[in-house]
Amino acid sequence: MAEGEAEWELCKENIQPLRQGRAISALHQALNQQQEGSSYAAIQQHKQAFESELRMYNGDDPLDVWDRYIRWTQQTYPQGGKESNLSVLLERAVMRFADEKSYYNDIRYVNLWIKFAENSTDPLDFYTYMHGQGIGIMQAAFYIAWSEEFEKRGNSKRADSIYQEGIKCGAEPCDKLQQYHKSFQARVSRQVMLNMADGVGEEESPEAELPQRTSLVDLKYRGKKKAVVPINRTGSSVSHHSRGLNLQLPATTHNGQNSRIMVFDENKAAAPGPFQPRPEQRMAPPVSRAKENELVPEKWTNVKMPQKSRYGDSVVVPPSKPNFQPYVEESDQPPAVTPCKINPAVNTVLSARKPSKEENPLERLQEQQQQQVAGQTHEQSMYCKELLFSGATEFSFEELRAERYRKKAAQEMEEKVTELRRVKDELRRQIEEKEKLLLEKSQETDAGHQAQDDVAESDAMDCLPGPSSMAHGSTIGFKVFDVSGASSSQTYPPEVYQDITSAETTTRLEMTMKKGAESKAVLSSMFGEGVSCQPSFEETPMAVTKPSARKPLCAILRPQGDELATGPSLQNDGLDGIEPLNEDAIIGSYRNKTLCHIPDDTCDFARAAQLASTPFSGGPSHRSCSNMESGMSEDLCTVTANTLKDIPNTMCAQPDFEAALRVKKLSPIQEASLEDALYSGSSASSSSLNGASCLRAINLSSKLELGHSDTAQTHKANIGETEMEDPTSENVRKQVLDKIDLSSIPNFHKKLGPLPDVNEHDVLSPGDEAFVILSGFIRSESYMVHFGQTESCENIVVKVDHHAIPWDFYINSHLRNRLGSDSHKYFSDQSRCFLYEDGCISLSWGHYQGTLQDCLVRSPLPENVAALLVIELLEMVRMMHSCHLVHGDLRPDTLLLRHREGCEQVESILGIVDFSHCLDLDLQCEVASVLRHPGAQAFLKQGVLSSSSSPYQIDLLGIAETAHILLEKRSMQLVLKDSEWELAGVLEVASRNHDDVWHKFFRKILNPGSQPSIVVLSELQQLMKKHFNHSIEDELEFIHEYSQCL
Amino acid sequence: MSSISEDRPKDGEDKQNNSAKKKTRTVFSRSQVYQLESTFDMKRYLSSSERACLASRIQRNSTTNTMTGSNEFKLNQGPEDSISAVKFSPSTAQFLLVSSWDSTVRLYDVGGNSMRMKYQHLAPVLDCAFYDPTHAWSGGLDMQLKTHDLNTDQDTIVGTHDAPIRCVEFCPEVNVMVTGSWDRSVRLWDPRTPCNAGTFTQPEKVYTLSVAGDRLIVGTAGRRVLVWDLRNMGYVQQRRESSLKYQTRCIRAFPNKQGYVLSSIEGRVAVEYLDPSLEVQKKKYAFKCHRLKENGIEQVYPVNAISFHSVHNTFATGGSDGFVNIWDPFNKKRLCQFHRYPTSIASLAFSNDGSTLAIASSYMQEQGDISHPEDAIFIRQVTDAETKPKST
Repeated sequence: MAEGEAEWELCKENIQPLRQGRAISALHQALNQQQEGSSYAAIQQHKQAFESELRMYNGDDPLDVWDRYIRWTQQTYPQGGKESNLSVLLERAVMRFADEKSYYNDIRYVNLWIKFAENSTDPLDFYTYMHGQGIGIMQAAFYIAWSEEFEKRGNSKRADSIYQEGIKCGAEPCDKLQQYHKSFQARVSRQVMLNMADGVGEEESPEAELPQRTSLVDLKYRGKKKAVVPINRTGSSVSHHSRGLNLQLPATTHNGQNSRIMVFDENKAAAPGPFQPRPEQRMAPPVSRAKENELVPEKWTNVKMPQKSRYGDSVVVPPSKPNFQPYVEESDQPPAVTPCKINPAVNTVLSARKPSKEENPLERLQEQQQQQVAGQTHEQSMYCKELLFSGATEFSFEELRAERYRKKAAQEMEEKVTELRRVKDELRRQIEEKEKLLLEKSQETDAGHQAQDDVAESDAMDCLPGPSSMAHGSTIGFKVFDVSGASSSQTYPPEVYQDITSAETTTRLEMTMKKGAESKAVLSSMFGEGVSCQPSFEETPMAVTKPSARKPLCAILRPQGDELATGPSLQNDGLDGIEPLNEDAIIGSYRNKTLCHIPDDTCDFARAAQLASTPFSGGPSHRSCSNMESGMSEDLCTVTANTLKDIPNTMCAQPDFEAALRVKKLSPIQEASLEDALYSGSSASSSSLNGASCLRAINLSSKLELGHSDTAQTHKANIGETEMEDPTSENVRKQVLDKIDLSSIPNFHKKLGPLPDVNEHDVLSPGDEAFVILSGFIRSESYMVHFGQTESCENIVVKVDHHAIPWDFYINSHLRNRLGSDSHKYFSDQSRCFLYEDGCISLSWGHYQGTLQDCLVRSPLPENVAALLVIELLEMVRMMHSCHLVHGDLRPDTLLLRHREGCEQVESILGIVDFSHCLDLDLQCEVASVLRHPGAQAFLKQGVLSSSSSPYQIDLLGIAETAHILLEKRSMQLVLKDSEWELAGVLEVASRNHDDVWHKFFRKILNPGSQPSIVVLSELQQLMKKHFNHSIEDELEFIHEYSQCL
Repeated sequence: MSSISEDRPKDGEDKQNNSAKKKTRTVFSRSQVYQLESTFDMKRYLSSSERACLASRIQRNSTTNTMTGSNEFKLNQGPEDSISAVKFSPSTAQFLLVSSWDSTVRLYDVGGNSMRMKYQHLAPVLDCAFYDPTHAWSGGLDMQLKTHDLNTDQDTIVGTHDAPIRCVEFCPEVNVMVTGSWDRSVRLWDPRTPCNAGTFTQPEKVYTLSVAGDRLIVGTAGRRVLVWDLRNMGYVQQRRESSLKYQTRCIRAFPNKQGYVLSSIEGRVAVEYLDPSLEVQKKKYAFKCHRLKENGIEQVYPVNAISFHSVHNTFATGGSDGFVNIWDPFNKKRLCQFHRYPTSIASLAFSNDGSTLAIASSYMQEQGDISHPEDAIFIRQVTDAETKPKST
């Protein structure tokens, strides 16, 4: 922070002042970006986005885009300069709406004009023009800017008359204008007083004494790319604005020497009478004279080489060189230029357009306007000129069209996604039914767990869109490999390639083994296909035809490295044991050529899938329950077959399907990226039937046209495995936290020894500070949360966890990192953790009076207070979701009410300290669904959540539940009506007039659809704020008093 | 446009006059083409009013039937969306490469009038080029540069730009592929490996580029023209400003490597020379073209395409008015103008031997996304009479 400020201080010279000021964060960012230069591309992209928005906009407020674009430019280019293109932008914007009278008194448009004027050398011209045209005459800002301009020039009489004029016209907001007027008058009178006191003839103004920027050094740009002026300030520079009247302006530049030149000031000399703005009859605004690099008539002998030599297209011929050596200050180096061999004389020849003919867009507009008035155009451009040139940069036809194409493509994609989601939902519902059925059954059998895994897997496979299901295909490939025990090391994403090849070797092994059992015809045909898929393995058929297949195989394998070479022997051992089962599945499949075309025969598929997803050792038990499973999987298969019926051959397990896939249906580019997946897929398919699912997955993904790289695939390949586990479980968290270095976070302490016993009223001193444990408020089997107080009487919350995983501490510190200063609003601003061998104690600072539940128990809440709490809750959850954290356990019991003293500045009353069920989706990015989350189980059972719901939805439901309890003091009952979830009963809210608001609230939060949770949350916030907006502060006050008296 | 009913009787009348005066044409029968050619031989030029009147009539007729001239035909199996570029094979006039907004690049057998092959990009393709007779390169909105082996029908992604790729060219002298993109860079690619051989930042978005010997001429937004030496890309050899007032649409270098022709969005073409010496620079000039006069207002069309005749150093220009003109840059004369094509000319390509001209008539949405005549590629056999400078 301190560094950033220092940096800002150093860059002061390079920051253009803005009327409304700058957001310090934006400024930091902009300055950083400048230094790094890495985000150049990002800025360009942003710019491009604005440019295309300017052109593609078809709403009814085109000024809005311009306004946002210009404000963004100002914030992003604090130093202004040519790079920002601001003057061009302002000019275009101002011109663009010059004919639209409806904008004339729009404050945004007026502000654009004012900015434009301020960027020019003679703003007064512009103000008079605006006044003449009637732009901004009803806006106080216009008069203020105008008058300030006069004031700056020391013409206080006119400045005053401008204010009066504004007040007379009734410019809005009136009080603002008056306030400015008053302070102006105060300044003037102070000035007069000062002058009288000092004597009018006073030579030296006080300002002149002050240290100044080194005089007569102009702010030359340094560096080739960035317009950055050097910092050679010798003292605090004096802003003219801050000094009010600027009569001393000339004096500031002359360092106290008496060689002063009298400057004729026409404003003073003229002593004008009461100013009356003349109605201007100009056709166009005055020509902007503030353009950079403009040729100003001057003496040629003094002329310097133009700065704009960067592109070599500045075409000023240097005048004959003066015959003396000009003194060059050491610090004054000419800007670096790309080496350029062109003789400048030649350069003039090369650029054909005469430099003297300065094309001014304003002049052009003037011409255009005149032409319009005269009603004659001689030429007509037969293209959409206004679109190409409407922004600050030009577009070509192709770029415009590309924008249109992108827009269309995005739209189509969206439609596709919604369609897919619909199908998915249907599928999911059916699967859930099956799952329920299965759950019931699983209570009866021991093998239930396994079956469920299977369901989950096929579920994930069917429901997840393209890439992940494709990835799933490869997971299965790996599993075959794993199972056969080729290598003890885990198959890990970075080694996919190797894994795939080893999976292939497995395949070949299996093939050779099958040989004995299978008819030769089938096998050879299979191999024929296999070869067509993997042309690099031509040796394989040879190996197969030999009676003793193993030896040649080993020979082939050898070059692939030690790990693989040792693999086969292990594999043989492993596979021999289960050969019958393996064969069974495969032979069965070959008899029934099309698996799912005959739904009765899908048990083969199911069995094969089981084979792939469960360890071989589980074979016997699998057999025992295969009846039930196959019944279920059968349904699954038919379901998927139905939904995917638009894909031909989807469920076909025969290798000829691969051949079909190889036929040029896909684009080559997709083919290339899918090749790896295909290999693994094909190998899996020939080894066991689950290849069908692989291929289907691939086909599905190809339908989605999502080309994915290997890494993406393999990364996601883990989904299948991790999803089996509760993402909040100890193991998962341990793995996750292993990835990060907790000890680098301050206030993390590791302690030897076991977790001390913690009881109420104990005094603990694990660190250098002791604290006393007060009442506990959350108790669970593995953790307890107490209030506490430190020696220095700071209030804390102590969480004693019997798992040695500092999750809460991690989340807390993470929240602070990610949210920055916003985090104290709802979260603890300080935390500490002591990690013991068998547990941990986390402290988080904050003064709370108890849980929301306690409060509810004691007395009912008025509706508006409840609403307020809900708004806060929404905001809090939104903040968490914005840093990809899911709380997972929102209930009145886990929400804390802040103590009054705990928050002097009324910011919030809610707080949250317990993160036991929290998910960090940045770290646990493989958690894509709510399936195993403990907080979701109840909802899953009800069907409100489905196995593929986003984890964020848990929190939405948590909010809904909490809100319902706040209102009704009982948990909510949900019913499904018209495919939307609704509250079962009627809300008995205190005031009837908000009935529909709550109704809307619950409908939205229970049925978020495909919207991201952050959007849902902010929409809900808006909804609530709209209806319960009567002064939040008062309400907060009230709620504090209310909670106080409890 | 005047109404049809009003025009019709006049039409017939014109035809009669035509036969008498040997002046205009309506339908392109063999005899008429012959007549036309002889007319051109004789007159070389029609006054603009005659031309406009002729054009409007032809357009009405031609969109419905026509193009039946023996020297011209339409390619079958054309792309499904607008055509972005047409390029002839470097070795023969038989093969034509066509990139399109339907995300494909197609290879046509011009002789057999059939599509030989097509391959796909992820997004619309903006340009394509032959590296050798068996390798095509292409790039577009998907930002990927692809090379496709036309023998084996396999493609390779060579690399990417940070923004859509606008142009792809091959430089045989240095044996390097050149791409220009809206990411303000030109990248060179070694076609043998294939791999990136350098990235060179340009001051603005690249709109067009052309190769003249070992020189690379890049036209960017902001009317800039940069001349690079492909053998020494350390610095820009020449930085120029377009001599035309409006946005640059196309730049093509003279086959004799001495200069280039630049066309702008507002009906103008400039002929420029690379040699910076004063005498040579004096020779450069610009002229107006692709403008139609209607009701006293001159309609100015973008000039989208230029293609040079490799033997005669003459060039064809195509504009959004649907006309194709062939120019003699040395005598500053127009050699001929073809009939009006259904819609804008998006791309032109002379075959290597100069015997054939491929004309892509395809609306480029220059007046917004509106309905328009069908996109098509016409293959026209050109004669020396149309392409050879007249010795004076």
